[in-house]
Amino acid sequence: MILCSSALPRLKESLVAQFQKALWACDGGDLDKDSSGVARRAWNLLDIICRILELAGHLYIPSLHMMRNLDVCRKIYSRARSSEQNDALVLLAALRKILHFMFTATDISRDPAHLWYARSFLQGCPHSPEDFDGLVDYLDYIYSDDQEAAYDVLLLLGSMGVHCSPAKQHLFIERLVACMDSTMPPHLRDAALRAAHSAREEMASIDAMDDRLRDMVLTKLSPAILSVVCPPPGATPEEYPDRLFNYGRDLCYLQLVFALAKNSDWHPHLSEDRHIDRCISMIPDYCNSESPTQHAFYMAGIFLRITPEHQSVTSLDLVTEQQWWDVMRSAWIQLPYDILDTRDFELLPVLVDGTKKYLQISSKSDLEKLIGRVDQFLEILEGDMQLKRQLQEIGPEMQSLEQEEGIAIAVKELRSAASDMLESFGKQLLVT
Amino acid sequence: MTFLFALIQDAQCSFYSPGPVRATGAFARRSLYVSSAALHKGLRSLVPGSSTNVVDSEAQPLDQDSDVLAENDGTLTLHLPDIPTSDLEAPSVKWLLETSTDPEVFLTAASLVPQVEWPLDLDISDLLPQLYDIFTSCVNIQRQIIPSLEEKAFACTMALSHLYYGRVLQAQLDHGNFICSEDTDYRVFLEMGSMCSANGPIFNMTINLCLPEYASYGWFPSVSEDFPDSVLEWMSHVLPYHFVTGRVDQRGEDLAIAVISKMLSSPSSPSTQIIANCTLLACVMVGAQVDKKDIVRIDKRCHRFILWILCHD
Repeated sequence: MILCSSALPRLKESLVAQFQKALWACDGGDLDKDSSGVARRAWNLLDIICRILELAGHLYIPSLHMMRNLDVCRKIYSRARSSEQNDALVLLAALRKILHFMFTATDISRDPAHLWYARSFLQGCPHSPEDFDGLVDYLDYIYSDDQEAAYDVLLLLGSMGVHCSPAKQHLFIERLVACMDSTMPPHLRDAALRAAHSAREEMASIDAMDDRLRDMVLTKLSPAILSVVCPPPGATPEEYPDRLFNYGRDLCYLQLVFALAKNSDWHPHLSEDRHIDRCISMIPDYCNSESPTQHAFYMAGIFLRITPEHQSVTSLDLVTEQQWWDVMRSAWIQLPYDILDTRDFELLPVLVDGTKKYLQISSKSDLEKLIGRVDQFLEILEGDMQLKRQLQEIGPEMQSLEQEEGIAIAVKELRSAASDMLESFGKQLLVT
Repeated sequence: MTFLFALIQDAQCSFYSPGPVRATGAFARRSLYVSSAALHKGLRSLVPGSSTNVVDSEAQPLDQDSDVLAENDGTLTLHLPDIPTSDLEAPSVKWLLETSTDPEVFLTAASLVPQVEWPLDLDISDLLPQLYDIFTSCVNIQRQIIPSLEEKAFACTMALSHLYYGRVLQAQLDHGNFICSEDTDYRVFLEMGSMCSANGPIFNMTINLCLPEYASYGWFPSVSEDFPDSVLEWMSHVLPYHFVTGRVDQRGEDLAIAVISKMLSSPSSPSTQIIANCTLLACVMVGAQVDKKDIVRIDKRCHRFILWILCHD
């Protein structure tokens, strides 16, 4: 029998689109206004909609309607808060199903194993931090009774990479700390770490916070974050098998600490709360010469940013020269794939200086690898600069172009320093 | 074996001589021309998979024998014009229902009715009264089905219900009078239902298409009933008709959701056909604009297109 492969995905697409429309017409679960019956049917279909979409096949539908769906959630939540208990339970159950529908329609898995890689994009969807304040209220309302619903909220915030407004920040961080508690289930703690990662730039600016908020971030959140990524002091690894090596979680954690380390006010706290110790302990896992990972870039960033005042960070003294070199070398070999699109880029001049410092202890093969990788990067960078120059001719000034030019010069210096070093290897060979 | 020969002979005979054929004109000629081959193909592909008990017992030998025949019997090698099979199946089954005198052929054809696609432009207006006549011929003076004709009556009512759905979509008339000139369709179905309780859920579904104006509630079967899979599958196919024609109430909606849930929640993963049926049903429930052709299509995996409003919102 001939199968027309396009049929079912198109049916699914149509269903998602139509279901969305009907859902928006529900007006937060107020079905009395609905004369056509369509909204009521959509409401009733909530029970089974995810199953239909899952079975209808995988088709990535970028949801342009996330914000409108969130608005439906906000309305349902406020209706639930003002309803009698039984109605409230029904509404809260519906709210959860709508969140699940949002996940399914944008192909986000609720499976904790996929937590670190779940992404939903809000491009083309205007939004502001205030739009997510409702989710924080909802989290606050349900987190102690319904851990799965709390997981959904944190997964949503984490996958969208968004955070709430300053007005809700205190409540949000308080609830994050609660969800990171060691008594909570592991997947909820992980989801809270991911949501904290989404708000990392805000967490970094402790100098801009009021005393109460800063106090909570430093005394509660910082230790809580560490407790998610490593077992408590004195515990044996066997007791916490899930708290050790975890590729996705460790990367999330390092990116978070990397962002915090941008602010020097954080440095003493990162050290005192043993975040630096934790980062150092990850060196063998992620900076080995066989298969370095992009974790190395963030570790390099954290160490290099803290170093200038490292008199206070005694644990960094214990890092051997070889380890420093391993981190620097690995950072170059696995630069983050999106480095030109993010502020991670700003680290490169520092990374160039840091790398030069340890060049003299590198081996010949390390140097060859480093030069090869630096050349690749320069090629990409120059392509990007070329494009920006062309754009600049027809459009506005490209601010990042100047910065990129400066970085290109610095990276080329690193390249020539490395190749000089490589040549000296040859000379040494000739002398002997 | 004998059964298949009867079918083929019936078809062949009609091809060479006008015999019992009532249909006239170009359409009839085309039907005749294609019917034996289409039937051959149709029977092979549809009957073994059929859940209808009428032909199940014979399905296996039938399948094997037909292969042998296809190779050995020169009379079967008709050169068919390149017409999609789906265009041929319904006219062939219709023609068999109208013409065959062999009771077994009739039973087979009737059981094929829900399994082939009935194009909206195929005129079935005569077929409904005819099937009803055949049904009444299975009923005795006490208004009971004659025990020896139960199978025939059952197949007749199933076919009648199924075709009725297509007829309603074709005609778009309220409170129809398609089956029997002396009585409303509503009363006809009620009467058949009282005599043929095995098809209860099917009648209860169909009755909702022809409710009289005074009816204050529908007849949708209760969601708590434990329907066999074949009935569930049939429901998943016909429920969209209710939504597009507006002949549905709260019970019907509940039933639709229950049917989707039951079919998709089974531990064994459902077939693409069932997923397609359920997805289309859900689309129609939330008001997607669907082409009538897509509603009648049995194999919705080949569903061509659905107009969706929202994408252009």
